Amino acid sequence: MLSNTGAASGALDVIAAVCAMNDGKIPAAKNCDSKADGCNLNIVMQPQERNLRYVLCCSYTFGGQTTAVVLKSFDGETEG
Amino acid sequence: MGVVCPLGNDVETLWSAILAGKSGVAKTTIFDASTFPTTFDAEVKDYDFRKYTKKPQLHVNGNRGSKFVIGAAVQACEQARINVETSEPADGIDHKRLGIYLGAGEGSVDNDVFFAAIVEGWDATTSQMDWDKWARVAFSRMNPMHELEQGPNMPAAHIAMLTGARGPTRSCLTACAASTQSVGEAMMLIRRGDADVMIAGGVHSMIHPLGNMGFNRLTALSTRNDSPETASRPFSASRDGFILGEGAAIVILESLSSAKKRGVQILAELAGYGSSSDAFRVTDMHEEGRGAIQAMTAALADAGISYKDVDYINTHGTSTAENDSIETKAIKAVFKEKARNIPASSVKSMLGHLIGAAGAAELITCVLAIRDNIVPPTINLNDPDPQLDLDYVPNKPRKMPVNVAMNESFGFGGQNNVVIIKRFS
Repeated sequence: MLSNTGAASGALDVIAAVCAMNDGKIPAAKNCDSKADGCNLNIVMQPQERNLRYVLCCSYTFGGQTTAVVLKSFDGETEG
Repeated sequence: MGVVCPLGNDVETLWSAILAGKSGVAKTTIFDASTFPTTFDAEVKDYDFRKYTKKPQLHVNGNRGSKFVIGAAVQACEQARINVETSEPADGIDHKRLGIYLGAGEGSVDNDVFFAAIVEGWDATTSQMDWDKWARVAFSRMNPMHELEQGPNMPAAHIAMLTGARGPTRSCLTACAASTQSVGEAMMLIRRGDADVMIAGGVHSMIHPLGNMGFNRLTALSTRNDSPETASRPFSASRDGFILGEGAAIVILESLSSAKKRGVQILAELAGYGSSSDAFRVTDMHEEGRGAIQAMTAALADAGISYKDVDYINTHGTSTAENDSIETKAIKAVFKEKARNIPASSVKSMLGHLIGAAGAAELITCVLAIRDNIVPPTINLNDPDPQLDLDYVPNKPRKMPVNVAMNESFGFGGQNNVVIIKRFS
């Protein structure tokens, strides 16, 4: 939906992940009608309602640099 | 430590040139700048990256900076006994805990082809681009690898391929302050335990028609075209701008325990780092140097030392009217009664301004100043600015005990970074 916004894409993904956790909805991989060979994960093709506690966001780039962050839904009480 | 720079393509050649007070500035040869307001710069000379790699095909499409950084990184790795271009490094380092932090900037497009496409696409009757015509030339003649390789993260990717460094790999893009920042941040990664060894430093070349034009139009460059070698004259009354330079400078940072375990030579201790922003203007420094003062103060605090402990200041010293005067003011604010007694020189008087590589190249001169107990000079300082009254070490290096040095870098955009280097004992 967003396309690849380059250096901004990771932060957009994180914002989408925060919205997904707060609203309890998993955004879909739109336009994925059938999975390609080798992509045999649980690809979410339609938005789903789901209670999310942790979300992993991954970014990879040309040149081979890779980064990942884990977000945790905030329950208003616990630290860290 | 490793360098590819206007004063030589290895550390000892650079240091000899600096102690001899040589200038790396000369007429521009990379493109025809003869009609530009500034017709000279500080270029890397006689350099071929193929000398440093058994696999040149991996790097041949790299931008100018990526090629420079290969030489600097291989020199530094060799000195620090990090084995490169091997799947079995056997150098005592877990290469998953070997990281990279580079100050860098965008590369330059392939100007000849890019402009050819623009000329082809320009419709003079409508004063608009015909993108169909542009695309016909661009798609057939531009090299996709060259376009991809302009990314500022690419020099770090080349070092990773070369060294097998698979740990945290970062680039920072804070212009003239970038490689002091990268060295400081790389130290933080080691302190935090994310890596044992970091390949840190910077690389940049803005010597291309747009780089020269842009800085010229900001009136930031010297226009002393009749005398390039004396054009960089930091702290002189007649200073009229900086000199665009290029190059790469790399240092290896290693935790003390790892360095001891591997038995490698320790050249110096990186003791402190401070970073700040002026939050003021894009081109101008804050009038009182508040960001510079904050970064210097933070670096001293991080090193756990007082301003009284600093033996030498390697200034940002660009040779612009503004920098040299505000930096002097900031040094006076931080160093108080001691300000006039601490040698504070600018090696940019010889090297020119290496932009994203400047801080790391200058850091290397600080390490050598400590090693040899000699302070590099500010050359071309024959008419001191009466407003600027620090000890700028005019024209001749000075033999004196140097145990603690401060290296300062300030960027367009107001980013300020300062590191403290100490003799290792």
